[in-house]
Amino acid sequence: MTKILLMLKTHQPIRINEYSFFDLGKHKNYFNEGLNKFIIDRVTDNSYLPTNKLLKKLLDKSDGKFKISISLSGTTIDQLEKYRPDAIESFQQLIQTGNVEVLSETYYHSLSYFYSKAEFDEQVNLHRKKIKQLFNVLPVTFVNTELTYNDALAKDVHNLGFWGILTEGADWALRGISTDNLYLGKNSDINVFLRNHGLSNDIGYRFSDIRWRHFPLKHKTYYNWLLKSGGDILNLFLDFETFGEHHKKETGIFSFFEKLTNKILKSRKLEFKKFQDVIAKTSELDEIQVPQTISWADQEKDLTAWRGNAMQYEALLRLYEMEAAVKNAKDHEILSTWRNLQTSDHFYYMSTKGLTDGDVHNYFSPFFSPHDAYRYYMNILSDFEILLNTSHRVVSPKFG
Amino acid sequence: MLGWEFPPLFNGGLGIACAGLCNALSEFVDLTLVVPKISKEQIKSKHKILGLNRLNEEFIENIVYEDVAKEVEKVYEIEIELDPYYVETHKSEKKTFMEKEVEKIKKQKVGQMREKFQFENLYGDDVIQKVIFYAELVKKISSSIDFDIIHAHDWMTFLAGLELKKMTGRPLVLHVHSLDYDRAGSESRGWIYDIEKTALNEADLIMPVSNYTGNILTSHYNIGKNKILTIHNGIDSEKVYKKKKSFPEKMVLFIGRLTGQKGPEYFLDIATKIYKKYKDVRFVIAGTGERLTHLLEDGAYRQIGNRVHFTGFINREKIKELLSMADVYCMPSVSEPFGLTALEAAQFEVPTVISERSGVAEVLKGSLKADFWDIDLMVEHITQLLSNEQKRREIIENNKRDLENLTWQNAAKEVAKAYDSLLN
Repeated sequence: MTKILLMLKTHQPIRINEYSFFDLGKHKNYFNEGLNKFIIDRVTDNSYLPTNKLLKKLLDKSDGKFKISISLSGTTIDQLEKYRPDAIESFQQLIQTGNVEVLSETYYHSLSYFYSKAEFDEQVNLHRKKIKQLFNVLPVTFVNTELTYNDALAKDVHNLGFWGILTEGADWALRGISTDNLYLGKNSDINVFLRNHGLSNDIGYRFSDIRWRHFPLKHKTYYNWLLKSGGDILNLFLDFETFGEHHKKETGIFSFFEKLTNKILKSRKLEFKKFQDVIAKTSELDEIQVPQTISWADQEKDLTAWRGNAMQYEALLRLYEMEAAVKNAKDHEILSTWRNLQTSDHFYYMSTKGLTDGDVHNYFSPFFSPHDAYRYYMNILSDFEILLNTSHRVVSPKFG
Repeated sequence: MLGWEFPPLFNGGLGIACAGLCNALSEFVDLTLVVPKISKEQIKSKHKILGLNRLNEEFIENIVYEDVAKEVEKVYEIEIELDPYYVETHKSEKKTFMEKEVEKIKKQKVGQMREKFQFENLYGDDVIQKVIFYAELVKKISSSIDFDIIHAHDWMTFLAGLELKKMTGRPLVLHVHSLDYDRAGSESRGWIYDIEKTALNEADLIMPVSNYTGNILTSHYNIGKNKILTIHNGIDSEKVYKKKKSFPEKMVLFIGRLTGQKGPEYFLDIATKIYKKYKDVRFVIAGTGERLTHLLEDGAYRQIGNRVHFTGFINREKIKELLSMADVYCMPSVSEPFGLTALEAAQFEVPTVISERSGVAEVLKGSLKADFWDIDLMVEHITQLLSNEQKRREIIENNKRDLENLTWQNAAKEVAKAYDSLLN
């Protein structure tokens, strides 16, 4: 039997305002409440509610055979609690079935691991607490922001008490090993799940692409592809918003998924599993080595989607430079503002990559250009710095 | 008077200078200004002003030359989409193939012409067509205007000026606010240069806005000194105010189009050097242009993006707001025929550090100056102004004194005097 590990990842950033230089020092709202509410409403209605309804139906009638895993970023949870508590409820109903595993991640969907281990730990704990409070479960499997991963990170995550970690089957870093087996992290007991990007992207990316030669994709065709893979496991990691948002209802994504699931449930060769069901504590597994950071974004599948040009590099640098001052301020609002500015999407919008990767960046970005995204972000950081300095003056050479 | 930009629709230095001069000059002469585009409220100005986008019916009827009138009428009527001429032709049935083809071409042409002045941009890729169209139209409406002197501002109107001179034999005065040389440097030899050179050769009198530009006319364009008369720009008195910044740091301001000519890259160099030493200062780059994205990336690369702020395009009110907040104004232009913004900064009592290669350096005698490439000297000047209150006051007072004589009325007097000598 090939075990299908289906993971759906929700994430919505708290998008920033077009913060003008003229508002510098005025501490106006950094976040675009109107836009964020609009998007949360749209995604809830297009995706979260109808998808959860379908998932609940499949969970209820499959007698425990249908299993999935879900990750919810803290910024998504915060916004759903604020604007759409009905969506939170629908997630709670899923998770109560006991057949849905909830994953752990950084609360703010941040790149904090690459800048501050202390901040990373705090965000992981915050997220763990929030998941416990909302869903009464304790995650054992971890997924770092945008499936970023390297050897050291895997080890550190294991030390935080996790037994599994998810990442991308990034061909350039994996030297030809199959994504369809379970591995161990380097010098660690943590199980590593590698995303089968071919089969994942067939649904996540290509499903509604009319130029694709398999368009329109039939569930039977896809089922046969699953059978052909022949590994121990199959890691299908998708944006939750794949269902109803990236591919609208009219594309037939929901009925495709329902038929596919029913077919798998009847299959004698495929079965659904959660990560925690397959995590093995034995060291018989092969170890993988990933010294450089990988991720699931763009052709490069590394950090360059968020840190590939000077603007992104500087914005991140300036943000994390403030950590000490932010934490010294001991002010809840200052801390949460700083953390919301850490969400990786802000840097993703500043990417100047072209071609189809550029198209994806543009699809998600609320800004006219990466340069605008950078400009407004830096104005916000400057304003935030002024806010911090009013109570914690940074000592530096001054003009008379 | 033939102008191109005109405020408030277009707020480059050219438009502001042209408006300032016309306003003052109308005290001395009977003046009609023709520009491509004006807004409604401008029809009430001291002098007569014709916006080619707003030629009215009465005016067209006054044009005696019938065919010409028809041409103009077409343009006018299409623009307001109430064109009886075309309604008729659509309705009339019996037309030869040839007639239909001609109509089609005419329609296309008028459609294109209409677009020329239906835009945000007076320049663009098709600026040459706009320039030719402007010249054609000016020629056609000129028969209804009584004039003794043709006065054209910058190369966009030089062609029209040349045509008018050929047609009427009236003396041609060219007002030079900027030259292709300023934008392209000493390599300048393109078609804009050709228009400039031809017009400059034919002109009876040339009025550069500075001796700096006058020197370029003699050296790069090979024009005789005897027909060059520098007319420095003036500045209208302005209600100035001071606004308290909402941040504690000092503020150094750059205003201008973000093109190589204005030297924004040098400003970034200056900012980098100052920021290395002093942390409590912010740099503001106001304006937009083809270098904007490059500058943003460059600033990030130097890791001063948290201290260099880009406003993007901003209107006059916002520029005033910036001037009311700034501690130092810096104009590191590579080639600046005049530099009106420096005068505005002086009005707002912002101490100025300006490029030696600018016209305004000739009139703001007491301002701090440096060569645009001399980053160290620029940095020294700016840090001095930021740290030494006495020096700061001194420069502000110097500028105030220099401003006293810089009125449009003085400029207009000079121009009127020059007209007299041309006519007598």
